Amino acid sequence: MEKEGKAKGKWLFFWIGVIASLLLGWAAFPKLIYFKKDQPVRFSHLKHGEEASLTCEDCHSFRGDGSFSGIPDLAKCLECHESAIGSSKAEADFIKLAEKLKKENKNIPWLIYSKQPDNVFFSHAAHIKMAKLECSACHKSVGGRTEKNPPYRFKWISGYAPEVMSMKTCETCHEKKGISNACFVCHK
Amino acid sequence: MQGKDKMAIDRRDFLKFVVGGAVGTVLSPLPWVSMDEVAKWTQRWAPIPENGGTSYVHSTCKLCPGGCGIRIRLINQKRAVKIDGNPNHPVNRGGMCPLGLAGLQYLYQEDIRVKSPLKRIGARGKGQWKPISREEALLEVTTRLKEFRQKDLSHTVAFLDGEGEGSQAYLAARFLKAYGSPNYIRPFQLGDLEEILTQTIHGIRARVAYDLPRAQYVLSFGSALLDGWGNPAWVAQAFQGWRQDHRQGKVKLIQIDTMATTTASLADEWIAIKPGTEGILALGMAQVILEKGWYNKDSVRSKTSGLDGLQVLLNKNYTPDQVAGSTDVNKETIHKLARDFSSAQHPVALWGKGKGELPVSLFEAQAVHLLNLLAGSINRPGGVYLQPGVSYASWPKMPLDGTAQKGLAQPRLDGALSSNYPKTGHLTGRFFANAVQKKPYPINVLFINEANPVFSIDEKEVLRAIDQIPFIVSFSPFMDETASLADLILPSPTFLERWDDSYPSLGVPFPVYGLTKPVLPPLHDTLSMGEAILHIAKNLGGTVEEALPFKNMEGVLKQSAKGLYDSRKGRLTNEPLAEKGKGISASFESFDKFWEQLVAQGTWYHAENRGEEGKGRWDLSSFIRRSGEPETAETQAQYPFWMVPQSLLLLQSGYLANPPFLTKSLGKETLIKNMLVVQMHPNTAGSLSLREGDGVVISSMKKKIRARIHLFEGARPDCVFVPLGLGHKAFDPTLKNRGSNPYPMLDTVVDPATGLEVGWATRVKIKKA
Repeated sequence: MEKEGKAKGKWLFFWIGVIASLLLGWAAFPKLIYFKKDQPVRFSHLKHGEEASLTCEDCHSFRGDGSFSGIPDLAKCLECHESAIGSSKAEADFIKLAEKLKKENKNIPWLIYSKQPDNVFFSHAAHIKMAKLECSACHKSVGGRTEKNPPYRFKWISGYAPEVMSMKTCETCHEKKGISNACFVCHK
Repeated sequence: MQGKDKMAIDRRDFLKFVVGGAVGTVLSPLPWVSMDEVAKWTQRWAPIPENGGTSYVHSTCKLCPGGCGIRIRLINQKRAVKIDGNPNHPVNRGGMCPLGLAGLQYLYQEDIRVKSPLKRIGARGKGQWKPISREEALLEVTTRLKEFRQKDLSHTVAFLDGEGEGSQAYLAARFLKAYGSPNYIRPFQLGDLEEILTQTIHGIRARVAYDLPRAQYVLSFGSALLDGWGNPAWVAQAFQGWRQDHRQGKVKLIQIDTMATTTASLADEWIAIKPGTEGILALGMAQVILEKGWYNKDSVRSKTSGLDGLQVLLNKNYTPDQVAGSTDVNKETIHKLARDFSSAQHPVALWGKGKGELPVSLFEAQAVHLLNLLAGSINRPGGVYLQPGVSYASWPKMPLDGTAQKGLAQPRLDGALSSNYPKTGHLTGRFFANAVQKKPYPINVLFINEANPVFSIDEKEVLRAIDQIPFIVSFSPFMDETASLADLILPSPTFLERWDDSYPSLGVPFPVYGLTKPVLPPLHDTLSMGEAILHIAKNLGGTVEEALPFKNMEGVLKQSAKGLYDSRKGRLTNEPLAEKGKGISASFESFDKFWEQLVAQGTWYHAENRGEEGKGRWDLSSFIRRSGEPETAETQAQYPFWMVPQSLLLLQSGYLANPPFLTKSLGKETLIKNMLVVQMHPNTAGSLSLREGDGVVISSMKKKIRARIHLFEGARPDCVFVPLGLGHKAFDPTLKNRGSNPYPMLDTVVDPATGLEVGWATRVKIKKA
């Protein structure tokens, strides 16, 4: 009996170690590696899409030279929001900020969830116009069914947001579609 | 005891906990994600420029006299990221040459730019400089200039200006005249020889422009059409046009060249001529055309004089038998060329070897031009157009004081425009030779703009001349070989940071005026040559200041543009091409509106204005004074080979140094590591017991260089082909001390007709290194 108990005791600390580190690695660590920042403006895709019935292309469009506008500049926002729409606090805050930025000739410092790393070149024209992908094929959370844009999360070591595509994502899709995976196809 | 035992954690338990922890950690994402994160973190070590909005600005390229319309993509209106062709530009139509595409490297390459005015403090060439303020620099120049003017030595101030064309050059020339010196000199440009040619034959000073897009039989006497001759974008698009399906086989390109160059290999026919005999071949063809009566009789009889005399000369000295003997082109080929050329629709013959870096003899230019005259191709679609020189009629009259008049009465140091060479505008080589001899007077101040004579002319002579000149001011934006020997550098901004213009557009048969403007704020403490001259003129005061009544370069360009506006002709680039014939008057109600649009669009042109008839009958009697031939039997035995310079599209051979992008693109037949590569025929190499890649020493009478050889069946066996443009002793590590410079080896002869130093192929001997 005594022998058995001792044997059990022997393994107990091992298992405590295993469980504790698994908990740390699987549950705590993924949360610990992120920092959070609030977006400079409270913005809702839901409101713009459903209540104002705008389409994606109304704000995110291709320019004359074929490049993609990405996040619209302040002037685009002000086309509608020249003066406050409604009386919410968020709207008032936005108008105040917009006036300040307009004076300084700056744009809203949006924190871009899916901004790709600087060592790759990504062309929206190639993916939308030529490969005919839906926006949501990559921007999975867009249309985000929330009243408020979620805070911007990024890993404090690498500085990347979780929405940033990994090289594997790109490669897998390219392979499926028969597109070359040579380095220079994506990398600058 | 037992209970106590159970509770106690001994060393073994602790180790088990640690081992368990390690096992668990390995099974969790922690180590893998951390490693991945660290790897990604390193990606962000490289500096990342600020992102921002994109905008496009139109301007004009100033990297060659071609004057292509460009469109620059900017981020945040201050960081240039791409230069493209302006699709609406009448000349380059959106196309660009590789140099233009690499143009941003001149702007952003930190280690070649001069970042502020510099004053030499050590001995010349030691590279010891003191940064000074613009005011100090300008004051220093003005003080010297005042002194020489007071001593009636204004003529001892000289200006070597490689820009040579456009309003800024006109401003510099005007400044020097008002100051009282006849010594405004520009390095050789093909245009100089064109002006001499048209004066001797047509009685007017004009440029020769070829209507390549509409030509149907193109006979090129060594012109590197696809390696940068003329305006590369214009020529390449014409070539593309010749090779379009519906014109396939209808347009013939014949390349007369000593080697299967890029152009020769893409031509319909390549004729491997003996170097330096191009003019003789042209006259041989002319002899056949005249004898067989294949010439355009209407045109020749009604427009020319002196035909009979010419025919006698040709029959005496240039029969196919004689010509075949000296050119290595057989009789049948001469006959065939003469027949094809004269029976073709829209034939045109081109001269100017390589890119036109070096002068050919007037004899050669006249001989080739004669073919165009006989075919009736002058001022005809697909032929040659005579473009009158630039007129700055709208600039105010210039007053000259007594000092200036006295100074201008002195002879030019280079002897150009003198009784010996009345039609030659500039003789740079002779300028340096006479500066060494102080003949007829010493030079006290030399301004140098957009020229690098230490690299591109006879190095030794230029260095000796520089030793004799006490004060040298360079306007170079880059620390080139010549700037590094100056006493004062007043660096210009690059063409993306300054006001300038480009007029006329090289080799284009209609007038094009390109405006260059600062597309981004200057990166360094620079001042354009024009601005500096305006400041200096103001400091000098009196008639010099009165001659240049402009506040700044923008004002100067406005004055030039006023002339275009007042002509009420032409149009701007963005007006649709369909509205042909509609003049500018229809579009703009005031000059200010015109200027505003010119600044925005960048280019004015007048496509309908082609060709000038010239004065009286075209004179064929002035044919043909041959350049002297230095070659004796003795030199032939000592120097059995010809060294033929090779012009390459990816290698700049003039004032500009090759940008890194282009140097990187040079093939192994041009440069291997830091060693120049020269090309020769396998049989030639065999006779010297040389193999591919062997090192050789090539010596001319003047200098020797080291190189490695590349064997090429397309090389004439008695020649060795040496690329022009390597062997710099300045600039960045991609160029400095790489390869060798063949310029100082060239054995030039003075062309008795023009005074220009003519030399392309040079006698050399080759030894295994």
